[in-house]
Amino acid sequence: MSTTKRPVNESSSTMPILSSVSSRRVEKLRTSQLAYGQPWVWLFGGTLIICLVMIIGLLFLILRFGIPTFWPSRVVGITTIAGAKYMGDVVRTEDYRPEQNHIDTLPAKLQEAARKYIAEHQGKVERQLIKIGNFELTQTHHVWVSDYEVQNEEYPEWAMVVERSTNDGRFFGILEGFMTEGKLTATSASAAWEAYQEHAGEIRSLVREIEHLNKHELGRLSSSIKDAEVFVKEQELRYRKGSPQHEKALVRLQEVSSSLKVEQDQVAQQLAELNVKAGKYALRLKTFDGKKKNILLSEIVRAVPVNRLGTMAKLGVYFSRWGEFVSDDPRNSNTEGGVFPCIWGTLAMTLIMTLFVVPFGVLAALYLREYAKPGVLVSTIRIAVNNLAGVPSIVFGVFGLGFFCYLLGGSIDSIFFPASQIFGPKYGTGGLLWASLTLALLTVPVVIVATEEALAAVPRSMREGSYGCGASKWQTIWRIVLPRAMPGILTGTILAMARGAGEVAPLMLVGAMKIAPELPIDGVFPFVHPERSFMHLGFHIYDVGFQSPDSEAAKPMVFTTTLLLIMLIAVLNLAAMWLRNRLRRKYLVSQF
Amino acid sequence: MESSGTTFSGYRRQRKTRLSVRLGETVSRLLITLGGIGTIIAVALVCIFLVWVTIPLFSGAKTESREQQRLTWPGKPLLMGVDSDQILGWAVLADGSFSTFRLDTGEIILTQPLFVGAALTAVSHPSRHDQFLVGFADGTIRLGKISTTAELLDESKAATELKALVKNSSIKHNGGVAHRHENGSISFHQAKAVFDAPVALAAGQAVRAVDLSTRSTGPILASLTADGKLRISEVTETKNLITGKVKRELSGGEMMVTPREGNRLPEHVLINGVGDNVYLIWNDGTLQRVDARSIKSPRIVEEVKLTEGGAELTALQFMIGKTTLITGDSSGRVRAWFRVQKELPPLKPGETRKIVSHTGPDTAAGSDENRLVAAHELPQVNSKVTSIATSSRSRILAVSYADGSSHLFNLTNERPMATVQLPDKGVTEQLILAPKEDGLYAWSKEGIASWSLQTGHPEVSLGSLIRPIWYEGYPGPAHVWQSSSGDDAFESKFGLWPLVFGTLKATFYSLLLGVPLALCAAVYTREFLHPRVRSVIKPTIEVMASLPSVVLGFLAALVIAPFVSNSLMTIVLGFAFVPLGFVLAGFLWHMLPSKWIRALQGFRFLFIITVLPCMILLAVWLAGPIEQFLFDGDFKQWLGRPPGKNSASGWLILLLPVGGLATLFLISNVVNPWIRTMSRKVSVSREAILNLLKCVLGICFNLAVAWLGAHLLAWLGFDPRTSFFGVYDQRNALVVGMMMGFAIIPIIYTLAEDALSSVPDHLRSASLGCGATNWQTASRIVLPTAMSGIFSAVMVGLGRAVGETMIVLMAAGNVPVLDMNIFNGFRTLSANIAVELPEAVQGSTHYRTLFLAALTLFIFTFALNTFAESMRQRFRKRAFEL
Repeated sequence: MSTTKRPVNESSSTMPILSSVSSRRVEKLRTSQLAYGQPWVWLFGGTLIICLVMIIGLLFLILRFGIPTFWPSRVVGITTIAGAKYMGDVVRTEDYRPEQNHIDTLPAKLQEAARKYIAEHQGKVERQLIKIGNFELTQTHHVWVSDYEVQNEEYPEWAMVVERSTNDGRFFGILEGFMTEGKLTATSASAAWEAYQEHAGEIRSLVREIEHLNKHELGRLSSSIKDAEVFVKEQELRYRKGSPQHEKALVRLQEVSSSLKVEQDQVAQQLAELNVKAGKYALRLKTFDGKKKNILLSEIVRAVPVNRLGTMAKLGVYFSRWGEFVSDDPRNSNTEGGVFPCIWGTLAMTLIMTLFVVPFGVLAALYLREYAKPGVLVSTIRIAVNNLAGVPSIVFGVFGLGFFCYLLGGSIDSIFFPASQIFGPKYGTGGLLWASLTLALLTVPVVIVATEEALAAVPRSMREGSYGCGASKWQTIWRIVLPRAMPGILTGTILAMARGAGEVAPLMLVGAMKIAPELPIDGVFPFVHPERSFMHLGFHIYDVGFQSPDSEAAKPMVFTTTLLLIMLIAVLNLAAMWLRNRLRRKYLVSQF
Repeated sequence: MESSGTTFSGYRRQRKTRLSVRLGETVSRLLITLGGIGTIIAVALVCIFLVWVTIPLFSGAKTESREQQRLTWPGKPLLMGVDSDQILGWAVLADGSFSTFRLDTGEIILTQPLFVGAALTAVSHPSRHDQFLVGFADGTIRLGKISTTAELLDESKAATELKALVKNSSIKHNGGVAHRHENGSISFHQAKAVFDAPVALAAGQAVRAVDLSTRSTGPILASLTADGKLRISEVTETKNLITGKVKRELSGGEMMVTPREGNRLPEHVLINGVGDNVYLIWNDGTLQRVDARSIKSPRIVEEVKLTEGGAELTALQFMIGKTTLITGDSSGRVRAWFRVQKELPPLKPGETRKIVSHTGPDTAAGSDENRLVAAHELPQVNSKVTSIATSSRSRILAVSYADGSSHLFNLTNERPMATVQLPDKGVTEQLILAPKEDGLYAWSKEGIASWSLQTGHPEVSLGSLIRPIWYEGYPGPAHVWQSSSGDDAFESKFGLWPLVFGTLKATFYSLLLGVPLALCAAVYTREFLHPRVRSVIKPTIEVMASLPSVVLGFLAALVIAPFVSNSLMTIVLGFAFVPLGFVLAGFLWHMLPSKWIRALQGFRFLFIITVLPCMILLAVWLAGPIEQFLFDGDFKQWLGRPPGKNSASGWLILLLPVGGLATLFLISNVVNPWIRTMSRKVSVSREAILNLLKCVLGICFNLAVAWLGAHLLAWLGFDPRTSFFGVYDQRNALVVGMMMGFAIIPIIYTLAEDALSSVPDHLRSASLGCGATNWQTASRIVLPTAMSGIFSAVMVGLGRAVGETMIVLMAAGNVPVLDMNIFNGFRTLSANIAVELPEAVQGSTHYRTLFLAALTLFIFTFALNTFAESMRQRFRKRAFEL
């Protein structure tokens, strides 16, 4: 930015032209190059390119890291010069400058060679981050291996990647055999693989049954006992201990728990039987450094001999992992498994928000545009509503927590659920309803503004025609104006949904949770549980990416979640854009 | 609406409007009006509610006087207290007896001698857990506890006199007080004093003063006997396994106290909360500080004069935590003293300092590198201080004066909370603050006067939120935000300034990056891009706006931050090289034959694209050598080194933009006019070469200016590492600036582009028709016309940057420090709310202060947006008129 082309005064560049006309001195007609401002134009063009590169780079980054996450990459086995053996996925490679004390930890003989290697590469060495898994044996998920440390790299044929449902994460091992009821029934890898494929499906369905029993049956039973307990406490608080109502509630609790006890026992017995069945088979694996390990089939979500797979088989694994991601619960402290509760929570919240935002937004816009007397007051309100869209979302979160959760929810609790003093707040804390209402407040300006624009865009002639035919005001609005404004209203609604779905800051205050055991909308009466806290895709990104104890393990998960969220929002935005274009084409009227 | 009556044609209607239509009309009008106004009110409620929660912060304490009750003893009370429900009080009298009394009537319930056959000579101040230490004339001390108990009584088993008790009244019962509460339950209150067996300190030497502190490891005592010996002892308890008897043993060190003139020994001995300092205090205001870190060999390290102008010390008390000492004197001055680290001499260049921990014994005699300072002085009242009471749960203290008034203060911000006056001409001798801070009691010879008290939120005042405050243990007044800690003696520090500063820092850097990029890009899009390309590019940039900020924040924290940390020099160079590259390329473009230029004009954008990778490669390639040349091979290490050495290199980087501005000024005012006159004489290609030369020389000049300036500043002894630069933190303002700049670009871009679009086309046509070039039209006709619209775009962008939460939350490190350093983290108002509000107790000062922060954000952004909107409206009107 060392030069400028700005002429000192207005006349200098135009004067030659004017004077040339009068005096016919043709050689002065040429404009100075300064007038074209090429460097400036280039600089301005450059900024546009930087902006574009930033967006495209960002989207590319998300795609680049999000898409390959579930691809089953080859498993590498590395033997280092110090004798350590690692096997796992290469997560990434990078250049770094090794520190002296790291080399000092090597055996004396090898230090020389390592130093020489480093010197040859001008002090910069490549290293790879390997996900070695096997947390229960190694106590770590990842290791760094520098190039100078590598003695041998191989790709064992029967290297298995085992995804487990336990909290130890993945297991990398070489397939050795198959066990049935504690006895080794297959000793070769291929036979074991066949046996695994034969039994995996049946064990998976058993496991699913166990999960269902655990979660739904036992959950249902214990929740009805809990309800009875809460009722007892409520009656006690309402009418004092020992009152007839309290006694009655106690009797009911007794009845409920004794009748359910039988059922509970039945389910428990069923579970025990299923567990025995599911624990019948196990895979026998050997880690790369020679430790033996048996893994029960019931703990295995997916086991793949990655290095043997062809592209099609890998694609199969890839898509099955994606399927699991969108349909399953998270496990291993949110670093594996799926994000189904997050998707469900996001959708439920956005939906409830929309239910609030659309009617009220449209009503407000109708009032402002059609019913209120135009004047200073209305235009002030209009500007204020417009400006609310620019108020930071966290402010709405603060309001939501203070007003909805503490004030409204607290009052509801103290009036209808006195037992919440003992069992913890029900409505007096963050939950689906409060989050939806908070976001509804946050997004209602978007709907109001969009609806008002759409209403204004309906040609005056149409209204006048309607009035001329003798229709009343409401009839005109309902039959003529609203249908014409519908695309605009829909656009506003979708934009509001997109904004609501991507907003995280207020949710941190009003109900999004790291882990919410129960879905906010499920099959248990009354189906929608507005007081429950929920999981949210955006909050999940924040939580896993930022608060996870092992950020390296969580990273791929965050990228895929991000990809999902962005796709959701992109779909909503594209829909809005498409509608807006349609609207514009239909009524070529200025928006102002 | 008008469903009946005559129509405009003059004929009477044949048919009435159907009822359903009329009904629909009324209902819909009602519904829409109600719904519309309701929605608008709901939206307005946001602001109202925030204000409603915030207001109690600034309403002061409330006191209400209750009737004074007669209460006298034959002796003088040495210590007094009340229970937490304010039902009964207790007193230790000078003759060694313990008395309990009702607070509502002043009736003495019972008075019993505590120490039979021993003359009480010294009583300690109350310690945590209500522990007390008393000393006797025979040289023994006794450790004990004075506690109040409250238990609920079962009404069915209660005596008849209790059953007759009406609500909110008390009755003497069984050596205590029974009280029926508002909800009908009856509780029984009692005060008990239990003292252990005497422990001999020094046979025959009367104990003059004692104090104790209860640490987590056990009590520590300080005592002074008549022979001038100061003993500091730890109590070890051993329990006999067979008898179950607890045996207490004292162990520790002692030293002789030098009496002052007139052979006076100190009147008070105090020991601080952690037991590492003992204060010997004479009533003339002299304090000797004894270092007791090594308990075996205490030594005097400092002597301080607590009073001025010959005033006598009349009251002494510790604040909660026993770190801050409050002194009141006969001139009515009340001061708060605590120990701070002595100011150390500033570091010399290249010197490093080892911070000596305070726990180890300091062998050097004399100083312990600390000093006692009067950090706070309360507003003076021209009357002797008679008594001081401190709260056991916060930093509130009450001071009574000889004129019968008592004043309540919050110590931290020296905020006066309330003033009360004794009803008659009495002089308060004992002032008591109720344990829950809900009552104040003043005992005088006339009796006991009491006031009910609502403290409100004394920790916060408008001034204390933005002024520096001297917090306990800090070397001086400071801006600190530290809202909570596990310790109950913790002093909450609600200084909003670090957070406001963090917000400004984030906003500044993001605008620095975002505004030029967005505005220049908008101008190019509108004025120089082919409409067909524009229709693709504009929505692409608008897509950016819909990216959730949590995604941007996560990318900033997990991808951008490590990347910037690894290639810092490349990034810094990139900021200089990339714009320079575009300008240079523009000059090179002129070198082409004009025929080519005209032919390629339509593809110019494609050529511009190629510049970016070239310049980035250049930055990558040059980063190593330049880093080597300027910063001994590692910029980050240079940042981490103590300031002093090689500071010119840092200034060089900082001064490059300044030099750039100087060069621009020089070129546009001196060089360009010359070139313009030259252009009439020389050929096109000559002029192009001239321009290129100008550019290259300009760069050299820029470098020279920056270099000279840098060395001048370095020679003058300034170092950028004490201000703009400093230790590198991976999550820093640069990363946040980059990402948040990215977040505000689409907003500013869209609004600015709209503003440029609404400049009427006939202005452009007129300009072009007069023979102006595209550039001249854009820079002198379109831009000035659209300026107010562009300005409002920047305002809206600013509003977004101020309130952005997720990006700063994830990428800024969240440390509330006041530091200009661009490579350091910070905490913004919004991130602070997100982090702390879920943990804040509803209704607490902390909670309300966070609401205040939210309100500030609300008002600021709302005002900003309104301002921007009104500017935009005016601009639109003007553009329309043009």
